[in-house]
Amino acid sequence: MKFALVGNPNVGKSLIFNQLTGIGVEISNFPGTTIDMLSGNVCYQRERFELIDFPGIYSLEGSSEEEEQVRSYLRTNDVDALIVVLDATKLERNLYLLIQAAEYKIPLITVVNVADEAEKSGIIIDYDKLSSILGCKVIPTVAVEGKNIDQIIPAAMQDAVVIDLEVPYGKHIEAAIRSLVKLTGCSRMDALLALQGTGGEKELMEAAETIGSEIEEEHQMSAHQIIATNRHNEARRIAGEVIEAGKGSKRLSFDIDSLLTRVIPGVPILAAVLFFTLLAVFIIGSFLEETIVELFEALIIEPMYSLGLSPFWEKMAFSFLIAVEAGLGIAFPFVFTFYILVSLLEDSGYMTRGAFLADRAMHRIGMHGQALIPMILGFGCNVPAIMSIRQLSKRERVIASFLITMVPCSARTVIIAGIVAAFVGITAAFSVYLLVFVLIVLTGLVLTRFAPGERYGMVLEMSPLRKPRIDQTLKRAWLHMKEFLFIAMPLLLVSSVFLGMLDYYGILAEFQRLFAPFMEQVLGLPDYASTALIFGIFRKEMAFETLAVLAGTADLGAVMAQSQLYIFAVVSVLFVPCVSTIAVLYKEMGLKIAALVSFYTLGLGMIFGALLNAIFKIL
Amino acid sequence: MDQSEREDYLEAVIMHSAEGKGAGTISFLSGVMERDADQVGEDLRYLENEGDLVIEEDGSVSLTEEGRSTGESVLKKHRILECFFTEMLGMDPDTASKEACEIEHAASEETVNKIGNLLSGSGLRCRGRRYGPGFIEGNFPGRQCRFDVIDDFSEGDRLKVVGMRHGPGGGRRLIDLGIVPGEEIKIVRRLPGRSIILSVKGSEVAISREIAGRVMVEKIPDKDSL
Repeated sequence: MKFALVGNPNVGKSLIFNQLTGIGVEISNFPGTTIDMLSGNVCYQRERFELIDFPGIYSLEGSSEEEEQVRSYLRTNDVDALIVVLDATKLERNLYLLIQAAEYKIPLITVVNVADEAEKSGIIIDYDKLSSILGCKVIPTVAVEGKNIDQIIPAAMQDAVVIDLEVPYGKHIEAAIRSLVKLTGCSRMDALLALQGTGGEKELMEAAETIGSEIEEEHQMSAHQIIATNRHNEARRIAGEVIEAGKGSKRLSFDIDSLLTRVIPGVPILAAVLFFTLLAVFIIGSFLEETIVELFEALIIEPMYSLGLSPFWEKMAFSFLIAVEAGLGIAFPFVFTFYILVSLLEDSGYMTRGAFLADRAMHRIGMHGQALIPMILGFGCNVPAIMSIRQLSKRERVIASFLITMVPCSARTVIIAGIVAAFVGITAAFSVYLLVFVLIVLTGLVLTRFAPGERYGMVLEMSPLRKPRIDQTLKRAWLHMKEFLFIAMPLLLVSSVFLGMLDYYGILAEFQRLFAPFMEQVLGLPDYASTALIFGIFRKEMAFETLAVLAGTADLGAVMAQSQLYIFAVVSVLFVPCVSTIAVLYKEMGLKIAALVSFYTLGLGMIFGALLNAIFKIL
Repeated sequence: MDQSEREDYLEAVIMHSAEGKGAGTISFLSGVMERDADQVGEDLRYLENEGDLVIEEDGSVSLTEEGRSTGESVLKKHRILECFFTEMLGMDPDTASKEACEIEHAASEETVNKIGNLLSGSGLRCRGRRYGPGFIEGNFPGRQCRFDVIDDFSEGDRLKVVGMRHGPGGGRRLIDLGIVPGEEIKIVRRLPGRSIILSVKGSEVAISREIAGRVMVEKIPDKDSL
């Protein structure tokens, strides 16, 4: 048998899924983070069931990726029972989804979660009455405490029924449904979907469009609006009957919230939170990275050399191991630390406040508040950040592709820390960040004028402020991390080995000979720096290591002038994104954008390198 | 001179006098009509012969009874059409104004009045005034001709949603979150000139300003003031 959990974002659906299946899944406090459907197994009375966790959605009829995903799954697969999870504190709005789900005529049961919070805030729900109105089993739960969770599977097995909750849509819509059903022989639900502009067959869609526009003319409202309004009214009616408003204390988050969402002190708090997050990653990361790299060198790389492999295999093994080393050196100290901190912000519900505050500033650079989260994720690794821009409009995605790629990710933090902070000074290191931020803003300002397409505004449900739970935060950080480990890392390993081969067959040396005069002239860098920069395309932080290897010493300050080190860092931070980022850009945005972003950043790196070189010469 | 040019002149003169400027009419008109002053002078003399207007000695222009009624009728058509384009069809104000300038000459009074009825009949209001065929006050171009939207209100106001203007994206999500006609919402937080947090159906929803400019609402009076 197959069961599926469906519900709004943030109702605790994933938490219920975890408790039922025991698999680690992301529990999100930011709307729409579980993009993929998760599936797990549950055993009950020696029987195995498949349980699917759909992404959190507000509607079964919308056009967002998640909504389409759930809809098409429900329409093409046999689900034996739907477990509809509702949030007791927002029962009315959650019932809207239940009403839609009921129209799919799949047997279902209803779970009303966070029953305790509702009670605390004075919302008393008569669950028996709700059950009799809906005509199905209703289970009040408190997922955080695991309360009543054990009743869900038995109920889904025995009590799931197709509920008969037909919303009256008014005579026009009803007439339209009837004529569509007659005309094309489709079901009532097909007709409803088609009227709202979603669905399949051409004939049906054309007929629905004609009728739909007639309705729109008459009512000054689209068929979708009328249908949705009727559903909301039905939800309100049901909620009105089962909720008794009692006395309750105000939510704790109320007062803190009024501080967090004001310009003062909200914006300074947001700036401080972001700054200290980055600073913490910078400090913790640099410290841990050194230890990991030293251990790795001593325990793995050196023993590898003592094996006495043939030169070719030695080169290959070295390329592979150095990539693993860098991966570990960056992944855990920088990326994981960063994601833990960001997950804390997400789980506490603070991220949505940040998005709200940043909305206007983000508008200036062509996006809106919801794009703040991908931008921040970019500080960890650009790859997962670019994967999280799907919710934006086409235009915003184009702009975000450019800007996220410019955000100094962990690997670039390593360069800034390892080269500039170590050999030039901490102020200089911050000036690199400053330069990059200014360039990001300028790029955004320019792109706003030229990017094609329309801008959507932000429509974002605020997550309630909650005390983050350690296990959930770690789980979420691990999920962000998995994208880095399974998408970025394999590419790093492959490209590192590929680069090793180029080096072995002397192609890199050839390359260096070709570009060295240019590097010398324009950027004022020694010839080995060009090779190091090329390495940087494959993996940003590799630019730093290669530079050290080629310079023959880790004490870069001894072989290169401070100005050279500074230029090197600026160029490699701006310069072409790493191979993994280009690959993800290609996958998400297509060849054109991937190429444009690469050439733009390449140009930017070169121009600023040359500019700095000219300035330093004059000084 | 063809009829539409004549109407444009008369419309422009009314518009000008509504702005309360007395003198310098020829230069003003040549600006509006995008013609040089000589041509405008010639056209005005032609209109004077036709009995639409009188050119005063100081060069300013005043309309005759007939000229005024023709001009006002065109201006009225313009306002109604423009309002229809921006509010019902969601066109941007500049295009709407340009299109209205073209169509006002071709459309009959009856057609435009029907559109006006549609506007007032749909219950949509124009800054507190019902928009109907009799409406002709206000400044030009008719930017004031818009309905109250969330963006017009301040923190703490309780509002009732009356409709939604067309626009890119976001619309469906708003509807799914419960922002539908008839719904009562409250502005929980409004940053100066920026985004807004609404309380709707027990949850809080942050929206951008351009979204707030698309949701048409009317204010629910405070209980105390009743």
